[in-house]
Parts: sequence; structure tokens; C-alpha cells
Amino acid sequence: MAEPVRSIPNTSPPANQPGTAGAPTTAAGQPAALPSVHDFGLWSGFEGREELLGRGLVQLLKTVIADAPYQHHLNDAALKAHLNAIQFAKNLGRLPELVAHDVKTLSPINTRVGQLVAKTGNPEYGLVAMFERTDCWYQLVLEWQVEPGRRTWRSPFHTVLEMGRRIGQFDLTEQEVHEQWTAPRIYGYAADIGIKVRVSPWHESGRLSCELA
Amino acid sequence: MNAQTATKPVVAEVPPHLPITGGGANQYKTLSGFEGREAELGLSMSILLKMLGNHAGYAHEMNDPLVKAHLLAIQFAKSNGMLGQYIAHDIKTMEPINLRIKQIIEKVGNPEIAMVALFDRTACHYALALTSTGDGRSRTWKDPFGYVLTQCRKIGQFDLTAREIHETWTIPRLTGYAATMGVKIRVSPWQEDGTITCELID
Repeated sequence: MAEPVRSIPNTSPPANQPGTAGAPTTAAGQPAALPSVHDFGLWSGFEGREELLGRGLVQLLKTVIADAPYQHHLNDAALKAHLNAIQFAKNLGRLPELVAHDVKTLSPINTRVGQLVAKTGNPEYGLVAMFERTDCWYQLVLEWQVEPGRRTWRSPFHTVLEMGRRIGQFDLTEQEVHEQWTAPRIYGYAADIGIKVRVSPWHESGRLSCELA
Repeated sequence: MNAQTATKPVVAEVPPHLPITGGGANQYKTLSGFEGREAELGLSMSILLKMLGNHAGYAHEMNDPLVKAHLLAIQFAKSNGMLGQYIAHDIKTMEPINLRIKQIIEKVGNPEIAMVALFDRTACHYALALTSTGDGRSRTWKDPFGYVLTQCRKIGQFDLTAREIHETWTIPRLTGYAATMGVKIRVSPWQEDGTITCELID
């Protein structure tokens, strides 16, 4: 049997009645813009992209469940891809060239960010571009602290390097990666963006930082 | 020291992943398999949502940073005429793992373990080729590079093509890994729709 038609109760109190949840008003007493019918709904933001989300989740779960021979993190494959290239360039004595190639590759993006920095006069845009906005950074480092003019993170290479060194895959150290790969790349990006930064020297704890200079 | 020429590679241990649930009373529990790993899972979920919410320039997919890391290195090697050397370096780097797989294949007598090792067990593959499917002696996936290359070529970051990567990087690497494992594989030639198949052959 069909469900009887039900009327929707009008729960809206009179507008502008104090202490009620009526239509919100602005400080000046003007009613705020009402949401569109679409915006009134609840959306995940992934409508139409369910398959993409599903594939991403499958990759995530497969990686996090992998605990042999060590607990894998989401950045595992990206770390290994970088280390493979860094070790290759190091073996050939061409690591500075790889860094220069990397900086040049990112130059079209960073030059554009530089226009934003120049237009606003706010160098913080440069840090946001290098850290919070760049998946090549945040999927590699996973966690970092944000303060105005400063970013702090833990070197992400420790575990993968340690495991790889045991079986002769790499002879790189974290310090070497920091000093010859991470820091010069950040300096190169910053130069293209048009900001000055200072990257901390290597610290045994692996805690590193970059701040506006 | 050159990491790959100074010493013979040490064969890696490749222990099986632990079962998600234990025996006994644990069999009756409802478990997600992620007990004790909630922080890791939450952090990873946060990254995933951030990745898929990134539409700067184009809609980013989960493999975006990994694809770019590979493209950067491949383009560097190509531009310097060192792509062959880079592939040899890559195969050598994976030798400790792949030699261990060879031992397991010889012990068990089942070459399909090579396919599991190449595709199902290796984050370096399944994090790159998000569409990877298949079982037994065959795996299929869609080329992961074309999508990002199309965007990045527009701004002059790379001059590589997806076909070039397939023919000069993907195929020789997979063939090299398989040779270390002591098996033979056949990787399909480039197809315009980007579908790639790898099969175990006798």
C-alpha cells in the first residue's frame, strides 16, 4: 500500500524573531543570502567520483595493512621512487644536475606562484604553495606543523632508507638526502617564487624546518 | 661508495603478511583488521581526501605524486641519454627483493608467485596503477602516466609520451624484474587506449 501523503510541517519561526532559529540575519539587519536548493542538500563532494574514491581507498587500505617486513605508510612508493632516482644520480656524481632538473621542471608552477606573491606582497603564499598546496610534498611527508612564516616536519626517509640499506639497495643517509636533495630543492623553488627562506641544518632527531628569511 | 657495485646484494626477507584475524576466540570477533592502526588510517584518509579534493590545474588522482616522481626521473635520464642506465639501476635496486621471490618460486614450484610479487604485493605497482586487476597468470591495468603527462606537457614540464614510457621504461623494467625472479613474462605492446597486459609465459 502506498504511504499516505504527509504534509511537511512548517517549522520556520517568523523571521527576525529574537532567540529563534529563523533565517539568519547580518549584523546590519539584512537577511543573509538563502542557500540554493542544491546547497541546502548534504554532499560528500565525491558525487560522480565514487570509483575514483574507491580506488584511492583500496590503495590506502592495502598500504596501511602491509606490515611486513615493516609498517608501510601511504608515502612508501613515493619515497622509494625518489630514493631510487637520488641514488642513481649520486652514483653517477650528477645529483646537483638532478636537483637543477627538478627545480626547472617545477619552474612553470613556481613562477606563477611568484606572481601571486608579488601581487599580494605576502610571502606566506610561497610557503603555502611549497607545502600545504603541493601533493608532492604532503603525500611524501604526511605530517608537518604550520606556523606563520615557518613549517616544521620530520624527515620521512628514515624507515625506508634503513630497510633498503640493510639489503644493499641504498647507501644514502637521511642527512645526505636533506643536505643534497631536500634543502637545495626548497631553495630553488623559493628563488623561482621570489621569496627568501632558510632551511634548518640536519638534526639527528630528523626534525627539520623551513622559515621565511 | 656505490651502493650497487661495492657489495653483492643481500637477499631480502619477504615474510608473509600476518592474517587479519587470529585464531581461537578472535575468529568470533568483528574486526576491521586495522585495530591498533587507527592513527595511521586516519592520517592516510586525510591525505586521500586532500588529494582527491585537489583540482588545481586538473583533478588530481591518488597516484599523482608517485607518477610525477617517476616522470621527473625518467625525463632526467632521457634528457641526459641515460635511460638505459637508469633502468639497469632500478632492476639492480630491486634485485635483493626479486632474488628472494625467486627462492620462494623454486621452493614452492609455482611461478604465479612472481605475478603476485610484481603486481599485487608491491606498493610501487599498485600505488601507481590504480586500475590493476587480474589473477593467476595475467594482470591488466591502464597506463597511469598519460593523464598527468597531458596536463604537464602543456606547461613544458615533460616531452615524454605515455607510449614512450611504456616501451622504453615499463616493459624493460618488468622484463628485468621477471628475469631476476627466474620467470618469463610478456608485456603487451602499446595500445592507444592505454590498456596494458602482462602475462606469465612458459
